Amino acid sequence: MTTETYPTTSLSLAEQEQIARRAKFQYNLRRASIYALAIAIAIWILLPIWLVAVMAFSTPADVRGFPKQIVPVPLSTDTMEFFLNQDGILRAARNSVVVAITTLVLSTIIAVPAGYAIARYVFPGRDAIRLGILSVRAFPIVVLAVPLAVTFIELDMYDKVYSLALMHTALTLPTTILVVASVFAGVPYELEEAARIFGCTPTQAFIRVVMPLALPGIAAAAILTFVLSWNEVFAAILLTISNRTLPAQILYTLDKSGDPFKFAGAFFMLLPAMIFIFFIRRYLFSMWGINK
Amino acid sequence: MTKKLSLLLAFVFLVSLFTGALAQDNKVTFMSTQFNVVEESDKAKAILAEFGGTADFVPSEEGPMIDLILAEASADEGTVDLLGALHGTFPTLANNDTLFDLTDLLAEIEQSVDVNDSFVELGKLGTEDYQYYIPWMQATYTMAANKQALEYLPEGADINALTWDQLAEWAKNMQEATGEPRLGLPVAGLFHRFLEGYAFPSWTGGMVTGFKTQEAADMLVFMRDQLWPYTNPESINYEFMSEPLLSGEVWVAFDHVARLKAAFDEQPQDFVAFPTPAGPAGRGYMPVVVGLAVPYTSPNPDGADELIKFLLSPETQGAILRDLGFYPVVSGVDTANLPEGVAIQSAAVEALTTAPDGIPALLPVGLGDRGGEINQIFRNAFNRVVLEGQDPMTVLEEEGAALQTLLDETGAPCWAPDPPSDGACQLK
Amino acid sequence: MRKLHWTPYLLLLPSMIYLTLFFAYPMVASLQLAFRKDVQYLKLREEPESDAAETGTLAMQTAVAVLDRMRLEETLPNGRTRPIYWFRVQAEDTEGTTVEGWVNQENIFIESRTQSDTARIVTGEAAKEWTFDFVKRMVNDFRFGKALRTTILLIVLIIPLQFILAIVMGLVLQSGIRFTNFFLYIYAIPLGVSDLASGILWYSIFTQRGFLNSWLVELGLRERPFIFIQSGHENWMILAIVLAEVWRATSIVMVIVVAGLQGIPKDYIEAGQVFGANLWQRIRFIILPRLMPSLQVALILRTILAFQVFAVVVAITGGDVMTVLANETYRWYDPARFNNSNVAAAYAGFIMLLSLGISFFYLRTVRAQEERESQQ
Repeated sequence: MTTETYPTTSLSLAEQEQIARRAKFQYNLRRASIYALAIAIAIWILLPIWLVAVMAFSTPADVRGFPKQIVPVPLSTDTMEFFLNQDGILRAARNSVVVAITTLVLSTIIAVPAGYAIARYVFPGRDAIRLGILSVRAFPIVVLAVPLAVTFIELDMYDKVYSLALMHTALTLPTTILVVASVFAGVPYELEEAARIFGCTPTQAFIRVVMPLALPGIAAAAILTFVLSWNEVFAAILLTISNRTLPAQILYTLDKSGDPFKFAGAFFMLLPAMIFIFFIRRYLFSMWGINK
Repeated sequence: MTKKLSLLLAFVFLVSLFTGALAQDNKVTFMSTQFNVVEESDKAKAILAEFGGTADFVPSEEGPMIDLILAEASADEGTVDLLGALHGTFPTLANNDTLFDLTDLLAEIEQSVDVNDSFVELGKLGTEDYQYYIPWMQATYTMAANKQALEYLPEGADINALTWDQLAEWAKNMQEATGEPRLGLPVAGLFHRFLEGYAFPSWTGGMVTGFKTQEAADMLVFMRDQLWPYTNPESINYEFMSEPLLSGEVWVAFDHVARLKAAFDEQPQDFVAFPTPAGPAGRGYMPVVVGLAVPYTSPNPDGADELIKFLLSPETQGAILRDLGFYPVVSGVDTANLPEGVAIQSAAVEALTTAPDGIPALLPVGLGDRGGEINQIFRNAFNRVVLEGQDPMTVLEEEGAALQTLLDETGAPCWAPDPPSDGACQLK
Repeated sequence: MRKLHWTPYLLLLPSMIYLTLFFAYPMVASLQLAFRKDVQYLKLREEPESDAAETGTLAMQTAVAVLDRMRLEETLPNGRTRPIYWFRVQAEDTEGTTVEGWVNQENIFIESRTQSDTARIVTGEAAKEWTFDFVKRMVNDFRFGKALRTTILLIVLIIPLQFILAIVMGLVLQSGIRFTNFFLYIYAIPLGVSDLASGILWYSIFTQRGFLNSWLVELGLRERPFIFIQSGHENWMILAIVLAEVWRATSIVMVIVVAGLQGIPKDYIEAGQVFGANLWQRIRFIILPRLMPSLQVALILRTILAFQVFAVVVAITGGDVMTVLANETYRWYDPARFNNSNVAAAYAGFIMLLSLGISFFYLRTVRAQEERESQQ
């Protein structure tokens, strides 16, 4: 504490210590409540996942049993094995990854200029374009997928992994544009202007000043894109037969099975998401600048 | 649009078929909408291995099959020799004049086995002298009960000749004794068949003509006041009744035999199967018929004929019952050595289909691709009266108007158990 | 801001081309589904040949009198012969004129090809007509009102909860506590969870023999399981759906909130602290206004996505008694259910209208607020 270097203070040393102690106590209390809050939210997120994991690793008899246990005893892989033994699950997982990554790359490349334009320029038709993009996102996939499927058939692009990625790009693009636009809107325009004053061309200003600041947000947008594609079932089912993605394949099997398989299927759908987010977390965190 | 999509669906596997077809002259390509789940199609292929010639089993969905056959008909060139599908699949194919008349073949088969007459009649699709398909196998919906439930059966009730009132009393007894509602209905599953084939016919004697009669209103009132209060309310989330039966959540349930099968396969000692109840007009039930047809474009119609004969032999019919749980349509099938669960269900199906007061109510016929909408109408009637407490006659009038519009627009004549009609079926 | 320039149009061009290719064209096709009806008419021929001169036109389901018949034969490639029947028929057309001519077997239903003297027209040549039938059908269906009410109720309940929770999550992550990486990872997990999986998760909790009932019974709070999911207890079903949706979709809002919080210069918040603003004041007057653009995007995104959610509803409640607009769209579309993509397209159009209306309302409200603030 630096209070000693200010002898003009009218408080006695004891009083100062008391205030410092109280401040510290309040600080600790606040810290503690933030930790409690953080942990409570974490439990809220993790509990359902744990419960369905328990179901996935119990015997089918325990899955049907009551009251249900919250630890999987006896541990059993019977329920999970059904899924792993299903034809094409692993192949479907690979398809899902390929589709989602292609979608992410395509969608981000196309969305960044558009998002920048909407965030930075005032031009006739801006609102109309913005609303148009929204309306595209608002059209239910359920009905949209059918005419798109027909178009693909006519172009001989049906049942191909890349054409599903093209469609997923179309589905995710509006969202990505809007998120990217809001990211650019959050980068202070004054910085870009300053760069221009110091002799940068618009392109240079964009690459050297705006992009580094916008990159974390764009990464978030890209991840959103990946997730949208990863979880999309309806278009995937309509557009593919032999090249199903993981959710489409699981949905197809779920429909014909009972509770044990429902729970195993749900866990199986969760697993890639948890692993995926775990592996990119470092990258994610450094991009978001939380890592000190 | 779906047509084109399905065409491509079909085309994808046909490319692979075609190369095979050229190599083998005697091969019979058998496309079926039944057994299209992997485990089932493996069993079906094993059964077909006994066939003298070479049978290539191609599982398919209904839509793609129809689109493929129509496309082959317009191209005047085909790859599929034999079709196996539900009764309701055939009217579209017949309306487009794509199927051989199998009258002569059926006569030949009936020299050695007796094929169920009412199903043969169905195979004519309302015509008098054109056999569009030959019945192949059948299924239906029955009741199943946990043996623990039997002690609560009402006094003097015969489980093989239950009435709806007795079922309601039974459900009430179970709820009062155990504190939990123990009767389950597959409301999230094939519940519309319960209404179309069981509830309405048991009170009105028909499926659609009596839709807005007083008898139908009585039925809904019975459901609302006597049955539903003792039915497990989570029924709205049940798809397959074998699940809640196995978990013990419900003790008595109604469902398609295939959707009860898991319970009888896994714990045959714990469950009994029995016919559905009878109402004031009789014991309504819904036979599900699967038929066999040969398209004009078949490259090997003689092979298809042979395969039909093989599929209708008592040995094959027995094997299908044993391994796949579909019931025979011919006489003389040996049912002695069935697995325990299959035998229990088989006895219940037998009792139901031969019940003296039985009213076989067929799946809707002639609605074409709007067959799904009639299910919506029946479900609406139930939901509005039983679940939401709306006035029965008002609901039946309103939904009945929608039903009449559907019948008029499709021009569907009445089907069994309603008396035949000229032109579109009319509600009373 | 800059003066009018062609640059923004150039930047938008790739997106516009892409969206036109993959959306505009199919969207027009879908809207056509909702307002155009397939009808068929059968043309009668002067001779029993398909290219003979026309003598009249009949609508589907017309009952006709059979005056004459002709049996031809075709030898098929498989060596068998196929009978081809032509019938000379007579009936009244839609204008009441009696017409007469030949039709092929494949266009009529006839009980006996060789004997019957009446028949019915069943197929013909396709044509399209404008219609409001499908929209009427949708509005008159008793599920329409229920689905609309439930959809709006869910949005009203879910979205505020989601935003509060997401902002709390974002502030917790920004508060500089230890293990931030760990917490962020946990909070981000639902990002990768589909609505189907989330529905099954919460189904396992709320079902009759699920976890919640297991705990209630084991703790002695209830003697028997309580049935949450039943038609009389819609509130419980709504609660389960709300929890599942808040659980699943809050992470997306959190991502946007965190990205927005990152954009708020630290100085602003520190300045607030220096001037003695308490936590609530800092959130209300410093953080929230700066977060507005991000929240606006999140709000529009979440509202629009909320209109399209149905797998959660189906997984938890079966989707029959409890229904939402997207579920009805799917049920009407599903070939295994109602198989009527026209009515499905009408539902889809309705959802699009609602989404557009609400987005427009949000944009207007936010802009009006911005203008008010800039005038002050």
